[in-house]
Amino acid sequence: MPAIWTAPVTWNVNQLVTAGDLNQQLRDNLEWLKTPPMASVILDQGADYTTTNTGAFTAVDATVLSLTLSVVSGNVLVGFHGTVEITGGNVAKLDVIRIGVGAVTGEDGMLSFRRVTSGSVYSVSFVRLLTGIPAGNQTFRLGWRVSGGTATLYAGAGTTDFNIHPQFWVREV
Amino acid sequence: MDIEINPRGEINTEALDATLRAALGAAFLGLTVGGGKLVLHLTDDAPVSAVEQARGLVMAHDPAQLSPRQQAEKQRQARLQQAREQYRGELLDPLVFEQTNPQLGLLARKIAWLEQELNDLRAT
Repeated sequence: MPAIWTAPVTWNVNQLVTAGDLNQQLRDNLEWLKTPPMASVILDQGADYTTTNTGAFTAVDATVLSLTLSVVSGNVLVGFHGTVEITGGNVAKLDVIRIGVGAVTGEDGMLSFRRVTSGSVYSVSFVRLLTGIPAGNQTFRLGWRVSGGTATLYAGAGTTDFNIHPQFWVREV
Repeated sequence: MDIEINPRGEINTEALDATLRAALGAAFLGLTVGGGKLVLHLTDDAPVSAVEQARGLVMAHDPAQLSPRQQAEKQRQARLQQAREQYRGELLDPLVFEQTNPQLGLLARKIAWLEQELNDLRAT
């Protein structure tokens, strides 16, 4: 059962402190601080992902790469690492999509890269602090789009030399 | 709008994208394949007829049919391979050209040098 955060109490002189108070204010809040809401996924798919999406950022996989947190503080760290390829002289872009809001950074996303040499494959990663996230359940998805061509995200699918298992994670801080 | 379709078999992403772009024009934004799903990305104002047309093209998709770029790339690779086999082991002798024209000899030496550089690059 996940730890429950309760706003700290301001204690008064001579106030009686009960076991319930201590359990809530010390035990539960310390447990929450030690294990804040967190979710992660490591890809181990049967096939790599590909996209030709030139529109707005769209989910790489709206089921597998979709993480939900019960947010309290409004501050969430998101992170990703993986290996991506893009055809031609095109640009691939990655961002995080928050359901109900859209791409959290927008424009060209958290990172973008252009293929400059035939056969190039890129190891990409980002960590970003998101602030002002409303309290309650929030869902985050890895999103991508391209300027043209086809992008591939290697997904631990056994592809020779690129059997890479990317990780996507979110954690309240 | 995103339209999720359960693919019947393997998808040639690039070829299917080329087919859908040719058929639907600006209404089609691309597609994403993975996790056992195929998702088509269309503009929000794409008509129902475009959605139905896209579904039909996906159902008729043959991954063995290459896109124009894939066909061109395959032909380019074949021509390159043919040229490699045709000229393998044949070295350019600049002296033959030098006897005709010193400038031709210089050109031949430079081509021979570039050939060595390319071979070196391909070996590394």
